[in-house]
Amino acid sequence: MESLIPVGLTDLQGVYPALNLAVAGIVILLLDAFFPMRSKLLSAWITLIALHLSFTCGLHRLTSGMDETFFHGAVRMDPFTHAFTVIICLASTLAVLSAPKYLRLRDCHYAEYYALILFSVSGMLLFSAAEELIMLFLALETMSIPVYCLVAFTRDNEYSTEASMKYFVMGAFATGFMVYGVALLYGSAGSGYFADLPRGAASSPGLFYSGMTLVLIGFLFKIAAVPFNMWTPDAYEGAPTPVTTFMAEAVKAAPFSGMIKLLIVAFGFSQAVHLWMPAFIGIAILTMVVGNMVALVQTDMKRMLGYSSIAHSGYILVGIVASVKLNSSEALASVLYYLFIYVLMNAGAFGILILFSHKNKDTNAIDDLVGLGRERPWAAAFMGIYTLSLTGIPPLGGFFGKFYIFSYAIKAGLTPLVIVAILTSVMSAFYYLKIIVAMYFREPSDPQHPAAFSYEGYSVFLIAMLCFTAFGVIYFGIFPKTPLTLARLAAASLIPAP
Amino acid sequence: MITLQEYLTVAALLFSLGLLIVLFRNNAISILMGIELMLNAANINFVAFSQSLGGLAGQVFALFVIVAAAAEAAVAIAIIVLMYQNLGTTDVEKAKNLNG
Amino acid sequence: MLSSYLPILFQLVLAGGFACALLVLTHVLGPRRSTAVKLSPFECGVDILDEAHHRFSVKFYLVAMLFILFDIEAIFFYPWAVIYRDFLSEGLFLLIEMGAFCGVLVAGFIYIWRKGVLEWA
Repeated sequence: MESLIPVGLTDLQGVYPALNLAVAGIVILLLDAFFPMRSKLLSAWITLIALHLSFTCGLHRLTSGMDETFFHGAVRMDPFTHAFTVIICLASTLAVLSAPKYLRLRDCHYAEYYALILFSVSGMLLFSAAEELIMLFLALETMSIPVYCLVAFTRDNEYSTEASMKYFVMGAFATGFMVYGVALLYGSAGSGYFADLPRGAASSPGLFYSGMTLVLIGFLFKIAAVPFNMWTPDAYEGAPTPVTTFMAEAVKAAPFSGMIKLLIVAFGFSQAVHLWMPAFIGIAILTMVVGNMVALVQTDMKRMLGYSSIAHSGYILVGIVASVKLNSSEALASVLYYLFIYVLMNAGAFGILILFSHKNKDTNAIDDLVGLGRERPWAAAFMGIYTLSLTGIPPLGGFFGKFYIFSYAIKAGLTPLVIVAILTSVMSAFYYLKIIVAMYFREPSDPQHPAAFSYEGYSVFLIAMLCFTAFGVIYFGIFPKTPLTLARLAAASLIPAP
Repeated sequence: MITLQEYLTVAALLFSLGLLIVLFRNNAISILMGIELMLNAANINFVAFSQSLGGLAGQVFALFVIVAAAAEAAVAIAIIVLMYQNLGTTDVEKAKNLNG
Repeated sequence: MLSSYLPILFQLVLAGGFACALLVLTHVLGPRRSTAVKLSPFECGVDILDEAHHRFSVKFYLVAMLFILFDIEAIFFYPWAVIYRDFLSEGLFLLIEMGAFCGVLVAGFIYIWRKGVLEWA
């Protein structure tokens, strides 16, 4: 018989960041049910406040170094979790800030949007805390199901619907793999706790390793690694742009957190590492090459950023492989730093697209940006910062993110991997620079009637989001000390110093 | 007496069936059924392991999977209805506005 | 241990055999006089108006889906009910926990109610 102590209030306090968001989501739904007229902007504010509370709680816990387990060990709130709480709350805040005006332009500014975001984020926060397979699965589902709805949020838009269908099929497929894998892992170890899993590898290796493979395949689907990436470009293109922003940052970072924890805590012993490490190296190479190559030929910005986000998954995989190989928390810290910067620059790039979206039409094609530099110099400058950072040009954040990861990968003896990574980074410069060339150096095809760039998507929220991300990309690039120190603190809880 | 091995075999068969359905059927509702089949194959595993290992964790896990599957199905069917309204078909192969 | 199931098997065979025997007997012994009225799908009552293969209104789907969701949630009452007695000594905490769970369900119910999902026509 398992332990018979019921969970108590302390457990609930332990998961406060996630609980707070879930409660806020329910409050929004009830508010909307009773005061449908005035609930929209109010919900946006409630969402921002709730996210802010979770953010500060995460930050506070991170700096105070809290490391405790709750729910009989199913949830471990360690600095690694807190760091992801901070990153994910930040990413979601950016996505929420970009939403209200865009949704109003599409005539679908409903309070449910905010409730769904909050439910999804509450799942994500548990993702990085889970140290038990049931918890991991529940966090995954709580995260994913609201996102399926969000992708279809512009209800009468056929692209949105199609994207949602494709995303659902692939997402649920991945869940199926993962649950089956979890069942096998449970069967091999007789327990769902991560710490007990290595026992299963000794007692029934067949079950354990097939379970491990299936679970990791499920994760690779979620982070859009090649060859499990087919849903990404379609889902990113068809989803409403604020939702794409949300998917490209928060929904991307969260599975990474779960996967890193699982890889290190449960599959971190040497026999398992010998099995998954070569596979991960191969997948990282494939992901970087395919992501960047296909992005080269895209003409739609959202699609291009979709492929670029696949490519970035590849870089992050390189960082994960390096940190496990070196067994170094410093290397893992570089992964966290990279994710943090990635969230900022990606959110900014999507924010510019939202700024110029029209009623019932997006401004997504790269050709639509021709002449932006002359017409709207500020917006073009911001876009320039994000794209240069995504390319990895110093002194912007994106450069240092890649730099740290690659240098640790070299230290780990993964030189071939780094060569591929650098070559594909150079390749990525071509398609990122295509945006800059379009903005500044290309003449409009019809000089008499240059494209009118009206700030139809303008809102104070969005401007705040753009300013913050642009500032962050520059500031945390030049002064990476604060985020890096925090990231080291977080990583050290997962990989203790030898 | 049915052995653990037999349960696992049935579950594996069900899982592969679900997998094949998802991969080769085009109708969205068939795909949904395939996914449900995969989840329920995992459930058989959970309950079988729980029986052979003792302890309740596996059974509790199966309960959670059932609930999650129901939630997933609810969302999926909503999306399928939406798809029928907007695209006039429930065939995922015919929905090709996004060139993927 | 299988032998303890023998009476059940015996009963099954007996019941099945009896049912089959009756069916065969009525078939063989009973008189058959069919008329046009008897052969129509509904022997009594009103004539059929149209076919059975209708498209259902989406409304039905909505209610069915909500039913499934609320129905499935009841699953969580089972493990709770099974262990409830063991934790009576812990005070009311377990009861409050289930109260919170029900509270969330009720919140969902109020939401769909106010949104007019339960209104017909």
